[in-house]
Amino acid sequence: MWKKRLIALVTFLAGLYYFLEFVVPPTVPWATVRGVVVSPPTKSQLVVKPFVGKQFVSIGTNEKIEREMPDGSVSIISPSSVKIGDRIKWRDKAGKVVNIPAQGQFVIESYGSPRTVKLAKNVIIFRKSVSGSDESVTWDYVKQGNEVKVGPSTFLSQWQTNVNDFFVVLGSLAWGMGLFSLWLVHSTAIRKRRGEWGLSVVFFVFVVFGVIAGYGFGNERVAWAKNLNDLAFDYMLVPMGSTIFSLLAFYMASAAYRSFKAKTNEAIMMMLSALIVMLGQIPVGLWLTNWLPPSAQLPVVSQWILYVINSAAVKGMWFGMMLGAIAVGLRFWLSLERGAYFDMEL
Amino acid sequence: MEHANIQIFIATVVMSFLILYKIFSARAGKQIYIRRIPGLTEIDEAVGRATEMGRPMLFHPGVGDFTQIGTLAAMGVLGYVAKLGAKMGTKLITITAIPIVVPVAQDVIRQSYASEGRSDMFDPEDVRFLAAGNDQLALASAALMKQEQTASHFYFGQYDYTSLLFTEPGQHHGAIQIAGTNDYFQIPFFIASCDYTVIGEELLAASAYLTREATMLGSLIGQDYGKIIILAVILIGTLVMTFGTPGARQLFDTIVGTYK
Repeated sequence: MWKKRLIALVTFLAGLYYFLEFVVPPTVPWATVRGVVVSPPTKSQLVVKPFVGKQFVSIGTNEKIEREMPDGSVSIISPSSVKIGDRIKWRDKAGKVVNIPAQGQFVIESYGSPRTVKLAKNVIIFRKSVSGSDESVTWDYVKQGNEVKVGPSTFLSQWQTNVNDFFVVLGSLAWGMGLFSLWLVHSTAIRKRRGEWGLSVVFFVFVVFGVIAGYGFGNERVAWAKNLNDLAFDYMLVPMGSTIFSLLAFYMASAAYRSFKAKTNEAIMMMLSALIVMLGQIPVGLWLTNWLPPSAQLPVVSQWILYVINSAAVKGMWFGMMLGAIAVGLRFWLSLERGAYFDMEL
Repeated sequence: MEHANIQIFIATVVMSFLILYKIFSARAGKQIYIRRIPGLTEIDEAVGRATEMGRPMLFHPGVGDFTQIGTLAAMGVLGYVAKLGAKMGTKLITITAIPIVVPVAQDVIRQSYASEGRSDMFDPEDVRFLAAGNDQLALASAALMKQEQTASHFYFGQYDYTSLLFTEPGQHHGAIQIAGTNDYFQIPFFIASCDYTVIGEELLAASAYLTREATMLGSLIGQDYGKIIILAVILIGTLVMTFGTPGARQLFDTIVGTYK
């Protein structure tokens, strides 16, 4: 009983940490400055031009706009190329695009006057990467023109590496269990002379071989060990893995053959849509329907099936799955799950 | 890691509240109806078939570890299959390529056997870590099917490209196969190669459906209320974005707050 209560307590505390880490911002919101670095940073301070209020900008289609990249470089673009998250400058208006309600219309977060942010010990810096995500960096990785978010840490995110390490430790312990399971299966097979027990002997031989070969991993100084490692991994394991992978092609063919038997209305629909999608992906599809209006040609219809009909169905499934994930997560977090892990005693 | 913005925070709290509220009202004795899920109903038939043939069953809890929600859901199904197996005296072999699954699966099976008063049936050797890679495990499972003459196969959890490597040999072997995954890309492969497939969220509802516990059923109803809210937001959003004024569109966009 105490074991179950301990599991429930650890699960609850771990779940609480991850929940808080998700909902609590990494920096204290009211003390965080978001903006663009305007002068070379120093160890003790950053000078940032902060984003302040929002303003609406309407730009004609033939106008040219300056776009400032996350690394500080500038390019000239047309209004149609502007995306949400871009930092733009047009005439006397400058800021970060937060919404594009219609073509040529932009809602931007404009800049305020530069502010000096002191880099105390508990202050963390997030730099906007080229991909648009925030990455935690130290002051010496920040350059003039970078978009940053600077503020006192809420500490939760900083502990994440340590908390995740706990899983690594657990995982390492579990490897022992896995190896014990392997030993149990194969040693029993040999002891009881169960069918194909010879293969279990081969297993143990190869375990020893693998351990010796592993000594050569990255070990350039001992030639025989390196050669053995290459033999085991590059010349045996990798080709065998590829062979298994290639089986997939044959399995796909046999599975597809079974599925494409037009036994029911649903099967007929699936077969027809699969035929259109497949033909639409290859030049023959275009050649066959070249005489039709563009919107009725197979490549277009194929894309429509894939990105409109299919996408709608997939998004519906995703909503359900995500809600299901929240429900399963809650049940495990609060130890409400019954039937598999916890019985009614808890 | 991603952090919640204010809209996501509110949505998380509202959905969690709905699910918890329904769980506790179900616990208070409120009657709940849930629709039939064919793939899950057929689990009984698959276990029965293995029992009639006097052959063992095979369970694979996916390729994910315990950070994957699909693996957690699969453990619920494993517990149910093990219970049925214990009731009918049919052996269940569980295979995995994820070491951390071994002790958990053993624990789940041990508990299920004990709850049916058949602790004697438990053999740690029946939970097998056969390979460290999923494609090697698929090959090992094909060999295991032949060697043990398994009659019913269950594939539940998170899957990757190896899904067909697991199920297609089972199809050729002639076993009854039931699969369920929350990985959308693998669902067609399961439909093509298994007798019954549990699709997407049905996997996450599986343990609730199978155990018929008030707590679990309540969480399902909570999920449905969440879906109603999402559908309402989609409907309002479609109307506003199609017929609304720029101001109304801007307001909706600000309130809902998309991934920007």
